[in-house]
Amino acid sequence: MRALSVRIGRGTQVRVVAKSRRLVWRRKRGIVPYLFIAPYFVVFFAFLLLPALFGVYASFTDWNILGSPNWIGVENYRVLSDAMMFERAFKNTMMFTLYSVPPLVVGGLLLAVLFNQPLRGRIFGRVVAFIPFALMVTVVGILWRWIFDQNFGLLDYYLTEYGIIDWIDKLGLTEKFQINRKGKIPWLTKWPLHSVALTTVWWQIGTNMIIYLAGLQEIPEELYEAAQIDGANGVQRFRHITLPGLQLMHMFVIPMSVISSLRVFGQAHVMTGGGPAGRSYTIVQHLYAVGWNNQRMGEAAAVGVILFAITFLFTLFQLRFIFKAV
Amino acid sequence: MPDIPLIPTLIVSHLIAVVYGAFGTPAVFATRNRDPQKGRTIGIVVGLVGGLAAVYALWLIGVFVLTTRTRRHIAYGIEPPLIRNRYRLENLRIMSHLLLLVITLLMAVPTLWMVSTALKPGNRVREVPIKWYTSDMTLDNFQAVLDQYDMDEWFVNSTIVAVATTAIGLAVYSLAAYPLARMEFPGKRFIFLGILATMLIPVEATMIPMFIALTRMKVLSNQFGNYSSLVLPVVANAFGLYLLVQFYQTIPVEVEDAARIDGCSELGLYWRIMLPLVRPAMATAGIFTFMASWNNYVWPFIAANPDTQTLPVGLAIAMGSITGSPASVDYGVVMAGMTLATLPPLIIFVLLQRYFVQGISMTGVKG
Repeated sequence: MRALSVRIGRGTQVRVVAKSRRLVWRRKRGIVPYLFIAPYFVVFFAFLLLPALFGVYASFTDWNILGSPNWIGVENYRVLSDAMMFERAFKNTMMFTLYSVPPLVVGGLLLAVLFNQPLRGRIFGRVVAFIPFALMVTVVGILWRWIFDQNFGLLDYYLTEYGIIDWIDKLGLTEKFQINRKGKIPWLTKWPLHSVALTTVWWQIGTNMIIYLAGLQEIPEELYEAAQIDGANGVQRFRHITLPGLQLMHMFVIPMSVISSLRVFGQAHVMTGGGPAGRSYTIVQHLYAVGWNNQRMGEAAAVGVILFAITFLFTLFQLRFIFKAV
Repeated sequence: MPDIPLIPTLIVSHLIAVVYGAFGTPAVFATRNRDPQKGRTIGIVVGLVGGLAAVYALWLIGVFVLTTRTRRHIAYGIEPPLIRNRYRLENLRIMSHLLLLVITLLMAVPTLWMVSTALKPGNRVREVPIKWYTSDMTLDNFQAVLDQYDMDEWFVNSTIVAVATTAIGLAVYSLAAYPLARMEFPGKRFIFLGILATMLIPVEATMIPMFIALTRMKVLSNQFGNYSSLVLPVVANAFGLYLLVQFYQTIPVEVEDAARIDGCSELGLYWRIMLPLVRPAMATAGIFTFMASWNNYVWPFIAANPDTQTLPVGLAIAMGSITGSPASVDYGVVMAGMTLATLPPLIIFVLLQRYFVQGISMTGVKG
């Protein structure tokens, strides 16, 4: 059958081979694919799916660590909708997402475009831009806390040294930038969310850059040449070739950036601990506080379910939007 | 990349020099000079002249360095590419190089600052004005961090956990990704999409039931159980699997056919044909898994015993971010610890960097 198929044209060959192979599969394979998947699936089921499903169940109970869970319906969700702290955490998380995602995505894209140009030292630049990704969240948090330090921090030092604080002062924006009496901007106490967002952008932008870079290399050079002959300028080429050419990358980068921003925990936890006065308190910090500090597991599980729902809606919406836009 | 026309670029760069001369340097000089008014005047002059001189010098150097190719073309009697737009093109190249330099520097500053702080002796860490390099730099902080904290123990724990996670992860991902990418069987779409959808679940939400279940089963109280409980939840994450599925799909079907005609079994096909072919993707998935495990913070923070404490949690506790106040922190020692903690993933990343970019660009993370 195979020998015969080789002599026939290409389309026929594929069809015959495919048919014969399917027969072989039926007979021989059976459970083989499932056996291949089984080892991963066991781990996946035990350490991801089961806890997740149990979390959904727990969110409808009055479970604390010691007792056994009793079904109390939507009580946990009702409590949450009243809780001041949850409302604040929700707002903060949304604001944080708003501050961090646009620079992460747009910045990552522009970095990728820049590092894709035939420039000297671009490989070095790529590695440097990607190094923060190798740092652990604790390191990133502590390092930036040191940089944002009011008295000895690098950022305020250079802002003073290069006269930028003076300049702000002259323009009469002292109040607006919350410059204190020592002539410093107390980043972590007055601009906590912005500081955490800046840290996150520095930390994560390299990942987005690498993914966009990979996408840029798949766009055929001929498209650009053709556009140039037709008289398209740089902006037009970027708008009509680069952006649509990266559609698959957008579908990955944008939702992933949003998801990780909605889940922000480590940086905020290490840098500000949610403070001052809850101004950088995020949803996951709330989950953590309710579940581990107050031991109200049912309520914490409800926070988890709400966070999942938000993430899911965001992702669906974004994928729709990106499909339509590009 | 948009072309930047020459004249506006020149105007902008002059403007930067003038503005900086008028506002930036006077302030610096005013704080340094005994007579602030005089200092300000000197500052304006120095700023303007220095700024303009710097812009022109950079320009000349840039033009010289970057026209090398064009000049070489002319020397060989070849018409240089796009000679009509040459000035615009060179101009763009200069601006791009400057941008590249500035961005690379900005991205590197925090990391360099970490290393610089780590190398300073304790009394100079909080010194103002800030110095990036002092003549009395030492390795004392590294010694101190190893003496004061159980860095070595955390290090060993992190290594055990990360290596085990990577090994187990790669084994199960590469096995599971093979049929998902290359076989037809009932329920395939459902299984694959189901696994992908779980990437949206916040791990922090699954931690609570997992912790309780593991505690009830008394898994967390013995050492082996505790290590496994740090390893397996990271393995369960679907990202590496997703990456490998994408990569398996790029292998031409003829390879598989040839092997099958020669009588290769499914396991043999996987082991002898597929695994060697997906090596770049394995490197990528390996780096991601290793880093995810090495940098994992929230779950070990809850689950780890004192015996199995890993680096991120240990460092956070040492820093006092959880229990103490930041004012008392000895940043030199902490930065030394952080530098040590960063070395392993950094070395692995730099070594595998080539595979890494290749792995992503070949899979293209396609949906």
